[in-house]
Order: sequence, then C-alpha cells, then structure tokens
Amino acid sequence: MTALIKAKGLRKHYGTVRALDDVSFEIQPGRIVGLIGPNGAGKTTALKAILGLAHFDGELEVLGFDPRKQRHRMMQEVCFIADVATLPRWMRVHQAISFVEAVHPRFRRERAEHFLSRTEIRRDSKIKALSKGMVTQLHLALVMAIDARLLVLDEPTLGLDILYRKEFYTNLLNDYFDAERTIIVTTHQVEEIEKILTDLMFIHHGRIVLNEPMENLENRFAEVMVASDRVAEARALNPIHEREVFGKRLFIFDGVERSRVAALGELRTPSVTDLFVAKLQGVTA
Amino acid sequence: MNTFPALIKRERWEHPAFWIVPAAFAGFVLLSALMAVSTALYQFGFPGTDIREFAAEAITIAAEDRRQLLRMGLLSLAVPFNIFLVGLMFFYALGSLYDDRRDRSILFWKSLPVSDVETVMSKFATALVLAPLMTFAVIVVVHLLALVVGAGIVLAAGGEGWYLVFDPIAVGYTWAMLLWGLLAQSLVFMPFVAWLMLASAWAKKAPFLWAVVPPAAVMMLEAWFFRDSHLALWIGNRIDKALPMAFQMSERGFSVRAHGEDVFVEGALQMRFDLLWSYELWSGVVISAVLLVGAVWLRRYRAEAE
Repeated sequence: MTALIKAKGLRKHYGTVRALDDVSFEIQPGRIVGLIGPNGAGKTTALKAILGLAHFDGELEVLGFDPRKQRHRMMQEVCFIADVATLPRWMRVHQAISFVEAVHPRFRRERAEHFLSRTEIRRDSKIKALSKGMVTQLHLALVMAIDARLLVLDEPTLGLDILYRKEFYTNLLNDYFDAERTIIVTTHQVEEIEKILTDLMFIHHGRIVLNEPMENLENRFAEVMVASDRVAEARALNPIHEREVFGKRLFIFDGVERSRVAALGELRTPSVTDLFVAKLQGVTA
Repeated sequence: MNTFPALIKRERWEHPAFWIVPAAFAGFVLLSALMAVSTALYQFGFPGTDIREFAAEAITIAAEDRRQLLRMGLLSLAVPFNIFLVGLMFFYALGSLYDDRRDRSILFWKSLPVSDVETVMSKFATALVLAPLMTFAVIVVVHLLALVVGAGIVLAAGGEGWYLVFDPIAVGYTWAMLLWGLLAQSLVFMPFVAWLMLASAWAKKAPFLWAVVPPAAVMMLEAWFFRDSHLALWIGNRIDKALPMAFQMSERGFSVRAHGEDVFVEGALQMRFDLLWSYELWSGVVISAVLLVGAVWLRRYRAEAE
C-alpha cells in the first residue's frame, strides 16, 4: 500500500519560532487522522504545507504531487474546510453550488442537493443570512459532493453548538468516509472525535511527539489509579505522567506491559485528552 | 471545464455595483430630463414653438449632418457615465485581491482547483472588460429611452420624427465609438489597474494607502531631489496622449440649422486606431505583465502569514 502523504524532514520557521522542526510522517489511504496540538504547536502550519498554502523546506508528497509545484492539479483531489465560516458571505447558496460545479471536475450537483435537502437551507439565501451551523452544513454538503481522496478539516466545528457538531461528524462518517478516502482533522474538542479516529498524531513545538494508530493505544498506554501506599512501586516503572485524583494517584505508562501495572490498581486505557496532557506536560506533581 | 467564465460570473455576482451605479445615475438623468421636459411643456404649452420649429427644420438638414448631430448628442449623454465607471474600476481593483483575505473567504476559494493565475487574470479582465461592458449596456438602454422620448415629442409636434431619430447608421456608429472608447480607455489604464491589484494583493491593511502613498512619495522625492517629475509626467502622458490616439476630429465639419440660422460645427469625432501600435500601449502591457506576476506571486503565499 502506498502512502497518501509522505513527509520527510519538514521545516518551517517564523522568525525564531520553529513551526515545523524536522517533521516526518506518512499517512495511509482510508484513515481518519487526528492532528492534535496546543495553539501554536504547528498544526495549522503542517496543514498549510500539505495544502500548498505555505512555503516550507523538506520533502513532501501529497497524492504523488508536490504541493509547492503542482498545487493546481493536486487540488482536484484534495478538499479542505479551514475554520468555520470561510464561505463568502455575499454569495447565495445556489451561486455557491453553481460555482463549485463549474470549477471542480469531481463535483456532483445531485449529491450536494441531496445533502442540502436534509437541512433547512434555502437555495436563494445569502450566506451571511445563514446561521453559523447552517454555513457549516452547506460547506460540508459542498465538500461531500466532491469525489476527493483527501479531506483536510481544520477546526471545522469551532464555535458550533453541540447538535451541529455531532451531526457534522455523523454525516461525515455515514455519507462520505470509505476505504478510499482519507481525512485529516484538527480540533480542540478531542473528546468528540476520539471515537471516529483511526490514527492519532500529537504535535508540540513543531515536533511530532506521538504518531500511533488508535488500536495500538490500548497496548502501548496504560492508566492506573494507585493507592497512596503503592506510589513508590508505580514510580519505579517510569510513568510518563502522574497526578492526584480524589486522594489517589493516577499514573500513565508508555510501553509498560499491562500485566506489570495491573497489580498496582484499577487499570484503564487513557483517554486521548489525558494522553495529550501526559505527553505534553510530562511528569508533573 | 469552464473555469474562466465561472470566475467572471463570480465577480459579477459579487459586484452588482457594476450595473447598479450606472443604472442609478441613468435613473437620475432620465428623471431630470423628464422634469425639464414637463416644466417646459407647462410653461410654453405643447407643442411649443421651439419643438415645432425643430420638427420642421430637422427634415431640412442634410442626412449626414443630422447623423453627426445625433451622434454628438448621444455621445455627450454617455460621457458622464464614464466618471462613475472609472471610480468603479478603481475601487474594484483596489479590493480585488484584498477583500477575500480580510474576510478569510480566500480559504474557500483556495480549496478549489483554480490556479492563482486564473484568479488574478479573471479579476484583471473584470476591471478592464466586464465593468466597461456593463456601463455600456446601461448607456445603450439610456440611449434607446432618450430616442423613444425624443421621437415621441417630435411626432407629437407634427414632425416626421421616428425615422429621423432612429437612424440606425448614426446610432450604430455611436455605439461602436463608445465601445472603442471604453476599450481604448481600458488599454490605456491597464498598468494603473495592474498596480492597484498589486497593492491589493500586498496590503495587510489599508490597500488604498499602499496604492497611493508609494507613487506619491516617488513623485515628491523626484521633485525635491532631482527637480524632476518623470512618474507624474508618465501618468499624465498616458491620459493626455494615449486617449487622443483613439479618436480624432474629422476634417469635414457640419452645419446645423437652429432658430433659422446655420450653425457650423468644426469637425466631428472619429475613431482612429493608432493606439493599437503605439509605444504607450505596449509599454503599458509590459509593465502590467510585470505587476501582475507580482500580484500572482503574492496571491500564492500572502495568506500564509495569518
């Protein structure tokens, strides 16, 4: 299986800030990759590099194209939703559909109409008259009607209420995603996409600090609630994270066999959020 | 694929001002004319002596002279529209590569397989071709309305109106002159529009200042340090010298009878096409190309620093 995206030694700095510091990774087709990192970690820079929107150094291949030189060709098979509400406010819904239909060879109007028919969006409304949630529905309908191989979502549900957020990902999974397509998504609301991700990628200070398929998390990481009298035993196993919860101590271990830590207390697989905090903060009291 | 027409259509959707502004001005002109006519009718009764005289005399004028008169009338009716058109072109070009970066909709446009060259060229063509054509269309409507009203008045005054006024040769020639005039103007203004678009692609804020301050600064420095004014002259020359290359006065004048007297009009405006192979035009094309390459390059990467 050839990788959809191959990145090797990506570098990019803004002044003295390293937004990408020797970043290498591969993304396979048919995956949903969560790119998670704090603000300013380099998420958006990485996405902009993939989308050919930013200069960078290093080797990068997206669908076999160099995003710096073959962006135009590449964009026929790549879609992205950057942030909410980037649809032009002056445009009418039917104009947006007609425009995308005219410029995108892989757009199918019937599909867009089909998705829109499930919403309350009227075709002659101006986009500025739609609610934020409706604008996102419209954008998603346009994107899902494009037969693309790679979909990049940068904070696609920021500022939306919970019903729209839930619906967004449900639609994406049920009506769009399949084994041929790949989705890369960044979001602050990690808990909401945790269940749909197939791969997890943490980025911090321009470096990738974790890149793991979701199914491996269970084997690799363990979260144990340890009673206070066994804390020293737990610490001896090199936890990557430790903090106090309800009078007990919670430890997260990386690459320690489950059988060795199971005896210490209640054993679980850490949530992505906890893992994120653990990876980024390291061992804190 | 029909990307380019779709891009032009997008500009037309986004900027209804291209027809609303001239149409509003046309409404104002027609309303003023109707008021003037009705005031005159109220004061002098209908049909007034002037109108009756005109109706009677119009038929006695030689056909060629009558056409010249009609052409002059129609052209002078069109001229004020151009002031609005130039304003529209200026502000459109200034916002063309800036507005969508400010409201971030550039991220949507860039998510589609449209190259930056196509985008920039579509906006360049919109300023120089679409905007003048929309104004031209409004002027044509104004002309037709004016001709209907004019013919109606003459007919009502007992003259043989409509065929004098609806002279297809005169009207057609006027429209050809108008189209050529608008095109010539666009050709001459080409580097100005390209410069505005470069400023528009460059500015993170206040594209107007970026467009105006650098040339103004160059002119001032030139004047202070070299007691010279190359840039100002170059700009002035384009306007003063280039446009006259699109038109000339004919050698043969024409005479018109008014109030029983012959009035001789010296020469009549004619088209000429020297502009097309002039240094002014082609140096402008080269400069525009350089400025547009800059605009495309900026369009490619300017969004990244956000």
